[in-house]
Amino acid sequence: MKKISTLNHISILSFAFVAIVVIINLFTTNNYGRSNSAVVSMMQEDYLLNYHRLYSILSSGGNDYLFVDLRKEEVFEKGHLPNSVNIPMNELLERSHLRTLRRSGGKTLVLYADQEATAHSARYLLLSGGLDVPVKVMAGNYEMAVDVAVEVFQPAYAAFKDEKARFDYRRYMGGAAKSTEPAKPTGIIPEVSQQTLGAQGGC
Amino acid sequence: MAPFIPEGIVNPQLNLFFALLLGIGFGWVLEQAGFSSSRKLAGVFYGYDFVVLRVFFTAGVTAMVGLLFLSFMGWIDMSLVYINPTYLWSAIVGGVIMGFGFILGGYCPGTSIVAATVGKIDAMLFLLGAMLGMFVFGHFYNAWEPLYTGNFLGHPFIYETLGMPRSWFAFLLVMMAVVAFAVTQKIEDNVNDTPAEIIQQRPSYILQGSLLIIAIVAFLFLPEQRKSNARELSPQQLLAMVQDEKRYVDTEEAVYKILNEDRNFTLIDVRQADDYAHFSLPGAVHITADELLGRRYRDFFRDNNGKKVFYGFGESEAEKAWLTASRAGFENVYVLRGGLNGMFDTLFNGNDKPEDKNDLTEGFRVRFLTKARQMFLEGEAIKTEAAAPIPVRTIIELETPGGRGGC
Repeated sequence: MKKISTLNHISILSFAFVAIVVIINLFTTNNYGRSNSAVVSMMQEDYLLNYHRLYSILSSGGNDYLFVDLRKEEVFEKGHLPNSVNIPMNELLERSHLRTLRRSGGKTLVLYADQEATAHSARYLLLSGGLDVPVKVMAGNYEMAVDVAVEVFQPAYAAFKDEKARFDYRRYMGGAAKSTEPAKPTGIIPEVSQQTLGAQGGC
Repeated sequence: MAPFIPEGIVNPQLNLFFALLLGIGFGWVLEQAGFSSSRKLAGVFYGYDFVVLRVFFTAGVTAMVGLLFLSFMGWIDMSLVYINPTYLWSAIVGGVIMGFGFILGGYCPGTSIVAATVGKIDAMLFLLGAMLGMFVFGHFYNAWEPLYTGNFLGHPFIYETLGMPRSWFAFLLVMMAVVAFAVTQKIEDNVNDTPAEIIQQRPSYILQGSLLIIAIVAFLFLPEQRKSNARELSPQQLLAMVQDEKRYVDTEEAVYKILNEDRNFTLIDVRQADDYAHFSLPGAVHITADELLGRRYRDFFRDNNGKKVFYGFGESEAEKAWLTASRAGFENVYVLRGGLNGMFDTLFNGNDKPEDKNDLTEGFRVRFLTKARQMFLEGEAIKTEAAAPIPVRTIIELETPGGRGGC
């Protein structure tokens, strides 16, 4: 009988060890709804809403979209995109706001702010929290959207985005040491979209 | 050897050593279970001995629960676990041949080696036959290659094929095992006419069985993998960090550090590989946001010496990478303000003269940027071969940026 009780002790101890490790982990983990790597792969998706798309959404009424203004309340009151709610960045993770976003009724969220990078951060944080609604980010910022896509549409900015080469960097830095002649800083690419937009270009 | 090798506790070069230990352990278990006796192996077909079924079910259930636990803890990378690919035709034909061999010889390949090791002559002959079969297979491989590689199904999982969650399949399998243990014991007793006293004296495994069932039920409610680990920052901490400006490195600082070749200042390019190949800042390394959580860069990010600065064309990509790294708990990560575009704008499109002559700080800044600009444009900053390091002062004091190495 002694042999059996040793076996029982080993079973109970190993079970307790696993249970304790799991429980400790459940209590020490942070309040995330998605793992970091899952969020990273979602951040690789093509979720940017360019001004061409914004223009067509706004001109068709845009009932499938809910714009989320991440700027401060006083700026929001001075002017914002139609169909938008104001969730200042510092209140982004508040329960009431998250509830609004979760119950947007099948609409696609479009985040915008003073800077495109802020909207990207907000998307990252919302997805980390486990939000299951499609979230897009508007290219550029609010001021620019008003200038180029809300009142009048400027095709030159149709595909504008933050992450785009604006200089011919190699003319300024990199390998210039090989030539004796100093390179001239004339490599600025004009900020006109190189993309052809086809018939739906809104012009 | 998870979690020891992935967590860096054990050197991966010891893999083969552990493989040897595991192999010896496996053989020992097979021998102890009585698998070196072909009578015992055949017993499962006649109903007098179900030890084969019990051992293999136990092994399967133990491995499965262990994998569930390790993958929940994030200690094992399931994508690195080798899964035998399924070729339907070769599986069927091979299964038939193996079953035929099992009936003829009374062993399966693994147990035949165990039995041969303990000196069974029939097992040695069995091994010889297996070698002969391998030789024939290899020699005429071309003839059966279409059959061998026919109907490739990839790496299917039973639970995926059945369309059920992984944990539910595990639960069902464990229940099946527990029921099978009880039922086969009954069959065995009936076939062997075991006296009632022996059945009475047999140890009871109810405790072990119920602990196993509790564990597997718990895994039904646990996520497949933890969503975060203890090292990660909380969402609120991240949000607070997003709001303050501490994460930004200004153009001036970046330029100064680049020109000084500061070793405690690492630029990390997060753009696409071809953009990086086309142009990158001097000394920058290329790590995109989806790569930076990988094992490869863990030591680099956990090393807290110096600043690690993300940059892209703009701020957005760098911001994403910074958030990912910050959430993972990496410290000393920063974002280049404005990205490449912002930096080049400040550096190359700035004024040569300060607007307000009385503002000394501004004047100093403009003079610094002007000189830095000249150095970059004339190739002073990017040396093609190792030269004497530029003393810190010269960046500001250098009057004529000639080709002399800054002295």
